Amino acid sequence: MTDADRANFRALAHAYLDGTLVDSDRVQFEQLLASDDDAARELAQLVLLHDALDREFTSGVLASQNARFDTHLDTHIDPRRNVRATKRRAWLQRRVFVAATLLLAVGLAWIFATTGRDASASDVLARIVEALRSGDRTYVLRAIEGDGRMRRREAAFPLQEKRPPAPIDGALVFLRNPASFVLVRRDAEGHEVVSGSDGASAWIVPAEGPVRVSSDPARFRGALPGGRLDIPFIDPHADLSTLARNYDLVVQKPAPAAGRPDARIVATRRPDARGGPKEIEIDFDAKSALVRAIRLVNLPQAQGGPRAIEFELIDDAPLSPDFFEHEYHHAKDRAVLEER
Amino acid sequence: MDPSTRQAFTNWTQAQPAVSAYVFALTGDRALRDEILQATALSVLESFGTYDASRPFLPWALSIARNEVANARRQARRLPMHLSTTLSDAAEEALARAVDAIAREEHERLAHLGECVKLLEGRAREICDYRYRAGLKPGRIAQLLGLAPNTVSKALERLRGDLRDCIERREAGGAA
Repeated sequence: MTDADRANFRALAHAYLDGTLVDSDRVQFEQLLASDDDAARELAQLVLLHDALDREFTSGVLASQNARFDTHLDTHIDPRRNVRATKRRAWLQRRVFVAATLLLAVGLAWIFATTGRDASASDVLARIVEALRSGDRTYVLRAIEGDGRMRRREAAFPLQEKRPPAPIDGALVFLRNPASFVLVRRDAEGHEVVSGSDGASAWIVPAEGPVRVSSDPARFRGALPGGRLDIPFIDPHADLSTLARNYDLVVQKPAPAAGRPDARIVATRRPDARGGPKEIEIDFDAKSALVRAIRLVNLPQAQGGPRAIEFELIDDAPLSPDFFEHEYHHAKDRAVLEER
Repeated sequence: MDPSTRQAFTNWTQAQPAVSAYVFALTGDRALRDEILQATALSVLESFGTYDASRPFLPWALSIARNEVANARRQARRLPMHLSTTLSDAAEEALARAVDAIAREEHERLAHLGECVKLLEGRAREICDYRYRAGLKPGRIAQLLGLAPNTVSKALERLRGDLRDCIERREAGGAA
């Protein structure tokens, strides 16, 4: 391996670990790795450093430093820990209801489209509505700490004192209109729980025990953002006029720069409105109107908890046609209980 | 604790950092790494009776970890983003061999990592925080800092190189 080859492989190795390796380079990367001992050694060194750095920042000495990144972390463990964790989960779930405003833009689109208050916002949001109506989308839910950009689930905890993530934090939401969803989350013990609806029925696949199926499509929406407020996260036709009344909308066009979203809608809570985040940011693709991220910023902090919650689009590739049916998510021999 | 279990614990404790790094490289996801590491530890303990003590432990543990990664991939077909860093079998095997070859030596060197990280300043430290404390990818860091993603990627490559140099300097200083 020449010095140039080594430098090239090193760049590919860093890209691989950072998740930025492009497909066109992957073949070369894997071939070099498999065929050249020096390359494999180079990657092995980097891999060990990468993991050690991750440990250093999340469970080592550094994890307890840098208050800027940890202003809201409570790493003390005491007998009240479980109670506090339970309260925190409940708190988070309540706040997550507000995440129904993921589709605030949708409701607002109709409001503005019909009232003509803001022609440009109306046009933009109408496009977002259309984009939400078609195709499959996958979002990951993050609770955000501190400066509003630190993901709660991946913030630092000493290894021995690591608290279990809240059930909804880190959850995945798969959406297909009309009214189909799958929510993949963890229960309090960390076991995977999958719930969903194909629009006609609802179902839940717990970690243990029988799969439960209901003819009521709303039956297992409790854990879904907006589900308990009857503001279906998954339905762009939902009446969001109540939310719309509480927020002012501004469509921003960020200055062109690499890495920045094409366009953003900022919804600011009106002074006379109560509850909910002070601000909602919706990043979307200016061309396709595809919503890429939604952040609920400056959540009420009276009871602690994350300062913000984010939905991040991680995939818009088509899912399997039967993805929203429960059979897709469990073994064939699993017991299924039909609820009346 | 019987002698066999004690020996399994001892071996696993020594191998764990290398196995962790290997799994992290194969999954690219912190939470998955930890889950798979736990599953691997259990498998190691449960199957320790089949381990041939005349052979090195780490390659055996790495092969178990690789199986656990494969299991996770099969189970997580609906979570493609967590396992997007799949490598070919030959590449995974080559990486396992290389990790095994250098793990002990690197483990000793990496003892200096904490001191070297403390020397990072300014933007380098900020990017390192975002990457490793928050677990953000370069594209997202770039978005937050108003930089081009490639700038962040290059900065990460550079700072890791700087850390490697620092570690080697301290290793050489300690050995002198």
